[in-house]
Amino acid sequence: MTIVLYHYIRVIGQRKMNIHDDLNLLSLPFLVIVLAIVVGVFLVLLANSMTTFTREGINFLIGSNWSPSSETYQILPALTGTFYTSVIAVLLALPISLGLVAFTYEYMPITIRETIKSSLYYAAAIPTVVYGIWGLEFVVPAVRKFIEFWGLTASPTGQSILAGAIVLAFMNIPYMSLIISEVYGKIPFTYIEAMHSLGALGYERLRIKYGMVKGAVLGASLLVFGKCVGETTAVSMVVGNSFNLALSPLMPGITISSLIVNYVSETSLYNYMTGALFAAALVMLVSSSLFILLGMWVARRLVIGGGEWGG
Amino acid sequence: MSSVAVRLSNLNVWFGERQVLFNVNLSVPLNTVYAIMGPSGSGKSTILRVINKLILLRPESRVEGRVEVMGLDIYGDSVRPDQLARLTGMVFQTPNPFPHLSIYDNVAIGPRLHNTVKKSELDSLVRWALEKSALWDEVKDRLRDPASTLSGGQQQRLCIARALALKPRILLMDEPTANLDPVNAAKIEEVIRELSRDVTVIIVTHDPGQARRVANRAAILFMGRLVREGPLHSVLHDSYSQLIQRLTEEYAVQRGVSD
Amino acid sequence: MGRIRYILDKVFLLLVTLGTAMPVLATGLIAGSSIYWSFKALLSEGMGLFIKPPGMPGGSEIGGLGPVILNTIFITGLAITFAAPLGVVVGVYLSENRNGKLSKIVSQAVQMISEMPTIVIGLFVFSVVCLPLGGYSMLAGAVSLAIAALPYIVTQVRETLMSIPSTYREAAYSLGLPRWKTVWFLLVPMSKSGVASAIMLGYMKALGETAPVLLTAGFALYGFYGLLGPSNTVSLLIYKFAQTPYDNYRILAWTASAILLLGSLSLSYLVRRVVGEVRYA
Repeated sequence: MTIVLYHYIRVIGQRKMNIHDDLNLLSLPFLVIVLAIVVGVFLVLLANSMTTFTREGINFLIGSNWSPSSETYQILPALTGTFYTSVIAVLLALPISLGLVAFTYEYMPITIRETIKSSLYYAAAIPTVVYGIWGLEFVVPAVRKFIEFWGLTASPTGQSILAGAIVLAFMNIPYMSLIISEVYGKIPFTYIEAMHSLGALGYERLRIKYGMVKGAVLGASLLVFGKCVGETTAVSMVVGNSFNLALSPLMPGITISSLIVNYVSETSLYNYMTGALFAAALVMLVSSSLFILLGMWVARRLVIGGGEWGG
Repeated sequence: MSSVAVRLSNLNVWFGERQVLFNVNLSVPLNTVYAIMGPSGSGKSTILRVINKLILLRPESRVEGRVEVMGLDIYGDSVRPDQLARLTGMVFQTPNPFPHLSIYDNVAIGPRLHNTVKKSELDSLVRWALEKSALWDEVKDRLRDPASTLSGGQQQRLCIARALALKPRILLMDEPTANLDPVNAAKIEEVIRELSRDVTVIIVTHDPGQARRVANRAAILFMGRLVREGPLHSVLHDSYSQLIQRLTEEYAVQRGVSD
Repeated sequence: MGRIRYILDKVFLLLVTLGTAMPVLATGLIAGSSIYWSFKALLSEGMGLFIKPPGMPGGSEIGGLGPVILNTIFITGLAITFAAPLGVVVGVYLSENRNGKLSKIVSQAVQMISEMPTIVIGLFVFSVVCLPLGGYSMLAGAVSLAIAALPYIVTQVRETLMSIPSTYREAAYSLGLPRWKTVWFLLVPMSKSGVASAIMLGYMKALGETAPVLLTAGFALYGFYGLLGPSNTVSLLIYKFAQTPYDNYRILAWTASAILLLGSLSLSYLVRRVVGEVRYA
């Protein structure tokens, strides 16, 4: 019976999916598992979010009332917190990454360049939660001291949007620097010679080269932005977790990811909270993926001088 | 101010352990077209890059000897990069205009960086440089187009204009027509002959016909050593290819004996 | 006149040096604190640091990370036993079928998983494994970590196999074996080290991720409770303990940090030795 089934599947496979040999047939169940995971994630998120979307409607996204006791779940502060921390993070990470790349390529000899790139590779392997504890032990107190020094009314502990942004930025600097230096290093040597023959200095060469790799830089920024939107552990340790819609980055805030993490333990106490968290997760998934895909597309398309060396 | 544009004295160059130029001595008089010839690997391009110090970009390069450009000891005295760039311009074997800049901006980038001219004079400088490179008529209506829209031959003339915009006294050309078709090559040779009235041109070429067409003096390098130097007709009085062949055979024999 | 350019250049150099110094400083603080506190803990507890459970919260005793380390080894090991076969088979398939609709779809799916915020993976496994089983478990945590690690294994295996020089590939195929044998008995063994590095990379991911286990594995501090019981990972401990006000717990968090860093860095080093370069999937 199984033999019949096997041959049946084989014939169907050949006709429908052009799977014409045993390798692909044997791999099929594994491929199906992978597809099932992706489809499953979307389905589960959607299924669990439906009730929330029907209950709250558009207010889910634009309202700020998150009160489990009245079973009202609106996540605008989490949305703004997520985007606020991510934007500041990219704005911090970009100049530092560019500076790092400029430092490495314009002012350092070739031997040091390799050392720096190696270090970046290892720095990119540091798990995000370690940046979280660094943030708690070093960044948050620094922010608190800053607030105390200037006598501002802001976060009492130092946990704030800014702290979250700083942690996100430093977490992504190695990765961003590596992406940029990849393209930067691929600029054909003949242009480098041309620049030197014209007498261009370090920062001038950077400006010219930057014009050539703008696409990759923009793409990298969007990519990192998408990653920041999805980052959970490190941010929730330092952002303060308060439902604030304040303008000052020195105030504590909340992100979608930290919202989920903080309330997941209380879901059994309420009827509709689980659904709300799933809905929030869906929103985060969609926004994060959007920016990551956009970033990759931009990096691929907009590197001037031809795609050959533009990675 | 001497009448010598470039003087190389006892020049020795290494890449790491490998020596590529052996005790080269030559002088390039002002306002001549000086050809440097030799088979591949003889060190011709290296000499050019010694003159504008671009050789220091190559890893593990070492230069010993004295190199004077317009009387300045460029490896000894502290000559700033921008001073050297205004004395020497370079045109490379493969045309390399900056692809993301327009035609106008490619020519203007040198003067802009060095702040050599006022904004109001930039337009006329760009025009002058493009006219000198015999490109003005072909691009005057599309100066803002990207440089990448030009053909290979046009791009190379653009590179000449880019170098000329800084009004260098010496123009270094590294086999500038090697990758071009004969029509464009001829145009550039014409440009070189015109230029030599005000600029000293040092051109690396592997084509003795080209040397005969444009140059007044020449040097022939073989395996990093200078084997002939002087006025063109005396350097090339016998067949260039025969000379190279003879040198190659002599070298092979030497190696065979010493092994 | 040209002086200004040189001054500007020096100013720029100063700025980029500062810019470079900042991440260096941050990394230094991370490394320094981890080493400092873990040494203090080591001095205070000796080898017990790796065997004992944590002390009382806020107490004078630091305790140790024994059960957490044990749980981590099991949960990440289980995760890799799920992810490795799946990842390698899919990676091999993708490298041998570069055109074709199915290949492109699966490739996209793998990339999507790699871009997903890991907490979403945690939520998915939470609802698919934890809810039916009625609680947090090592199994759920392992499944969660396996999904997170999967794309890295797939991509690395695919890269390794695609980089087999065509001469070897042609030689293998010229032996006339059925395709699956050619691939699995010749090409894959040829790329042993690449596949091994892929698995190491996946393991490194499983060690470092926190969000997937946060929602699925519970937080077992004092013992090992088997496949369906609560479990823990070193990264999860850092997450929880760092946020407590207790000094001894914070010391343990930094010690755990040191362990994580040691693991990640040595695995990175090994992967690099084998492969030379890693794709930033």
